[in-house]
Amino acid sequence: MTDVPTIAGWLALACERWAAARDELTELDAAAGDGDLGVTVAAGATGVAAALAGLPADVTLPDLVRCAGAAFARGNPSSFAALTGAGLLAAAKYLDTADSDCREAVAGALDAAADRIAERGRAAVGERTVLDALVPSVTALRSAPPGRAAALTAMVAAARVGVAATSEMPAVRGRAAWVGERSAGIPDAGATAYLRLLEALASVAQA
Amino acid sequence: MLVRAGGASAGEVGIATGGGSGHLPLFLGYVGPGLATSVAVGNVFSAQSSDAALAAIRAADAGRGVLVLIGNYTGDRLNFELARDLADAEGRDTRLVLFADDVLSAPPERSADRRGVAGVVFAYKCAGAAAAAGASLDEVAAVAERVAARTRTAGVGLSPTVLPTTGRPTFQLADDEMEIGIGIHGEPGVRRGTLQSADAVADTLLDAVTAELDLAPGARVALLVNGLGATSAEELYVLTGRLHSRLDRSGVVVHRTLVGEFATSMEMAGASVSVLHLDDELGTLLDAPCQSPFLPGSLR
Repeated sequence: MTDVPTIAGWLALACERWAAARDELTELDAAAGDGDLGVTVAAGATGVAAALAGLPADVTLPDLVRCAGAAFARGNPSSFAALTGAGLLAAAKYLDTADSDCREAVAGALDAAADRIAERGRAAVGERTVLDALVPSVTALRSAPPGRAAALTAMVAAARVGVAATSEMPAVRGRAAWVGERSAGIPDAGATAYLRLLEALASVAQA
Repeated sequence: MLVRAGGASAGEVGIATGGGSGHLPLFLGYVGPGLATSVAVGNVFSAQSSDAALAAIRAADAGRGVLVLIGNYTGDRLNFELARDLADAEGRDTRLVLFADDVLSAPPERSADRRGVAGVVFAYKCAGAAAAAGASLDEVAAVAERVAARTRTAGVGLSPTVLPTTGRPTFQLADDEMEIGIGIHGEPGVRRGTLQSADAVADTLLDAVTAELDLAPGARVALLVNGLGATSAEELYVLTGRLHSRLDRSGVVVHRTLVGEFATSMEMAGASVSVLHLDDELGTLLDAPCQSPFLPGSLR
């Protein structure tokens, strides 16, 4: 199992790369929502990278995840930030009691995050939200061949398929629901944001 | 974040609230003895941050727990729920009550999607009085839940408000039109119609509100007639006169009436009518003293 400071380093580096998705996410969100998702992700990701840099060397994995969740939410008061923050806090709570030495602990933590986001956002898979990329990526994680690189590759591939599928989903949650058909043919910005994070994580942690 | 002068009172359950700016006296005006303990506000018509929400929860916590009492808006709710998660990690005990009194914002089968509007003032008053009397967190939350279950509001908009961030009006209305069911951010209502007399408007709003309250002859109610920002007190009293005569005629006893601006939408013209169906305990709590420049010292 990778040590926690190494994970923190990966996550911080991935967040710095993730923040570069700002303009793409702004454009996607402007087409269907109110266009603030790029700012939310950039501010949240930058905040997470800074918060992780300030953690003590002996930080536990749950505390690292809790710190990341609070920092992301603090970036700006948008619904996406509050939902992501809440999801990460739920993941941290799961990790408090899980055996973090196995892949199933990570999958379980992501399940906990997805459940919390679904409950708070009153959303389900198939409703054009981040869940449409997150949930299939967890399924892929569980069935991927052994090894970190294989797991991340499988998660990215599943999330990419999930994001593509959101293009044809009607929006029923969030501001995207108000504009109805305007979102047809355009992938969901929140699901795309999650895919870009996974890609960044894979690029820094696969080596 | 703003907290009651002197901070949370020792031995009392705290009440934290909040939401976007642009609705004064809501939310800041209902912080005071016998009302809310603390408040977190965001920018105009934007949710408060989770940081401000957490600061409000901490400031309201005097050791007996905190009731988070807010209107049912996604951003407000998500940021306060996240703040509750963070407060939970600090060992604080919190409950959440969402106020969703606007009957015209969604049909009864989707009542969980309704917006919270002026009726929340009754919840601050009753839950605040329960907290001041030393009730437990569960009891204070139950009072707020009961007020939420027994309060309904309906509003009408006559002119829009201009958002300072965009410089644009929130909606368009002709001079001779009105929007029945308008929200306090200019959300569209259920119907746009030709401007009608005050009596006809009062009847429309009262019918919408009482349709879900099951008011038998002899029922006691509290009535709140709220101006949305650019409607004169004179007009509000004309509405109130009609509401009183309608309620009198159906044998409903109006225990208290509040007329004025309680939950506004900046310079929007229009009004809302809220009715709380009282029971004995809620009547006593409503009459208990409180302190705020925006409410009478008690509602007597």
